[in-house]
Amino acid sequence: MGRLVLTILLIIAVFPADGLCQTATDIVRASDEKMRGQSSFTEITMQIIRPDWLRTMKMRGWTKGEDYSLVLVLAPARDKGSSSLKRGKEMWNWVPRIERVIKIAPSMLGQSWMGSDFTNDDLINQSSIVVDYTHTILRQESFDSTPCWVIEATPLADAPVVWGKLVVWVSQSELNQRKVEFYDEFGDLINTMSSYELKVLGGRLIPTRMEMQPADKHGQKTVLSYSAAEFDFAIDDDFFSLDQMRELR
Amino acid sequence: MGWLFLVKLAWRNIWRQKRRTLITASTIAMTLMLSLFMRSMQEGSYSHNLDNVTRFYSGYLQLQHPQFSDNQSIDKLLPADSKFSKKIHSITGLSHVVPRLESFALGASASSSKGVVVMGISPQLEDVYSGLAAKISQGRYFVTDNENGCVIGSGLAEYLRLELGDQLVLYGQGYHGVTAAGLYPVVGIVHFPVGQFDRRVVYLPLESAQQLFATAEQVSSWVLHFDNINHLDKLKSHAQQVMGAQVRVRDWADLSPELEQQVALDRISGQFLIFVLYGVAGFGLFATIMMMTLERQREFAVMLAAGMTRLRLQLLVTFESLLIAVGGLVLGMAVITPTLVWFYYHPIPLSGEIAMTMEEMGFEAIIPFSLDPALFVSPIVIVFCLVFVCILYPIGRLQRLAIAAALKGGR
Repeated sequence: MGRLVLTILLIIAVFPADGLCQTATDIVRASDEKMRGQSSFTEITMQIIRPDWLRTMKMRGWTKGEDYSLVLVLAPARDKGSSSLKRGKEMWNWVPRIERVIKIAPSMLGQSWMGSDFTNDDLINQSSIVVDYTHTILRQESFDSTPCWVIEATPLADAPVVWGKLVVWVSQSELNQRKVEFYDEFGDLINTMSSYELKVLGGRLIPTRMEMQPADKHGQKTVLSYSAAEFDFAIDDDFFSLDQMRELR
Repeated sequence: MGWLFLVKLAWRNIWRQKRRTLITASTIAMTLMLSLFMRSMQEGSYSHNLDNVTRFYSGYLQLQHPQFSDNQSIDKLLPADSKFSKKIHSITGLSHVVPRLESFALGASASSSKGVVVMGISPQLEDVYSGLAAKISQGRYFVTDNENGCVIGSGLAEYLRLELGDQLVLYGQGYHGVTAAGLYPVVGIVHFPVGQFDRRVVYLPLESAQQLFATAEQVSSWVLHFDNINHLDKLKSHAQQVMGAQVRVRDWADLSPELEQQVALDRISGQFLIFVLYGVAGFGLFATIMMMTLERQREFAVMLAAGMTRLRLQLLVTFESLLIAVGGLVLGMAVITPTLVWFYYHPIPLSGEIAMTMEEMGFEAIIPFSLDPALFVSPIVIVFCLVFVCILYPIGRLQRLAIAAALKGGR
């Protein structure tokens, strides 16, 4: 009897995920799909918080699949009408003040996007966590009093990524990415993204507040708040074009 | 027997061997003249060229936000209002006070793009200070403080294939995260000999730059200039005192360390050569003093036997050595000082290829001289040290002199 119990315990300990028939990669893919769908539309308020100043921006974002996204700035007035377009691995900014489209050169990918704690690379490589990494479940842990899988993502040998590894907390019930830790190639923590305030938006229960916190900069973070969202509507590829970027107001 | 008597005796003694004394003294004089000439030329060109070079880049002193140097962030700025400016002008001894707004942006033409340094400058103050307008090789300098135009380095113009009248796009991050984007026609092209600067610099009038980066009435640095580089340390602490803890005062060595290292290396190699020179002169002096001691063993023994104390005898040889050294110093100074004063007011003009190279580099084609008093003090100190070391030998010798043996001619 004692031996049987021990065997069962051992099996449970060794294959914790087997009961749910989910592999780490499945979990990460599902969590990525959750925030994006086939297509998505979101209304976002971005707050850039610094020790001695604060800046608030309002914007709208559209995505289709993993390849297309478009972000339009609505406020403040100085930047109204600016937009960022991503097609595949390329990115452009439209600057209405000078009526110019500026292509983001590869050397600028590491730079801040619109002065926030997000980089241009973060925007371009949103789905990279699914395709460019291998995934292992490390443990189960609660985040924000929600039980989560803690998954380590290690980049593939030839993947064009900047991170050394990622650690992701995915909620077990809703499959939302609740927290992501970004490590550099030396294993030092660089950024932490945490998500809070789950609400039903566009028919999905998703976190509506995300905070990006650089590890070494005290009192500095960027907060994204979602006020509206829609998912899985029909949208043409042509919407994500340089012409469209100029047209949007 | 008083001191004066000893000095008189020493004076007579050194002239017992006229030629030897003259040769030794003139060795010292020659060394002094050579070393002073060289050091005066070195220091003269350092301060002259430093004045020339720093005007375009760091200046002698800069006022900055205490955290600006961390990552040259456009968020760490100093005020540029009249109240702050008045405070700066209360620092005494300044000849120029020049505001600059310096940041980075992407510069793009129709064909390509490149990271550039944007320098917002006050057209009039900057020109009086650095003579920027004279460096314009094509087009014109700024006419007003807020005109919508830019002056760019010739290397940058070449890289971006921009010509006069073409539009330059500047795109980057402004104050507190705003997007900095602007379109500026190229009104002038300026040529700098330093390639790194020539390939990156974009000048805008200060107000246009402040609009581009949305900084309102602020600047990234105030450049302070004064006439004499020797007052640097004094003025630096004075400026820090006047401006208080909210402002950081940085000097040129701090702002452009590579320039400082260059000067330091050059200075050390010059000083090394001078030490070799003094070493040679020192041995000459020592040989003379040694001979003066050895050839007079019998004489010393007689004087001691006649009742002169050893101490007095030692003093006598010390005076003899000092007289030779001082004679050399006086002779050297008498020749070199007027020479240096002449060259100070009439620097040696260069001509031919060297002159062209120097003018290319932004230097005046002259060899300037310095009359810094510190230059004159150090050789005097060095010569006295040499004398001090050399006379240890006769002093020791006299202390141990066996009178009877020396009288008989033994050692």
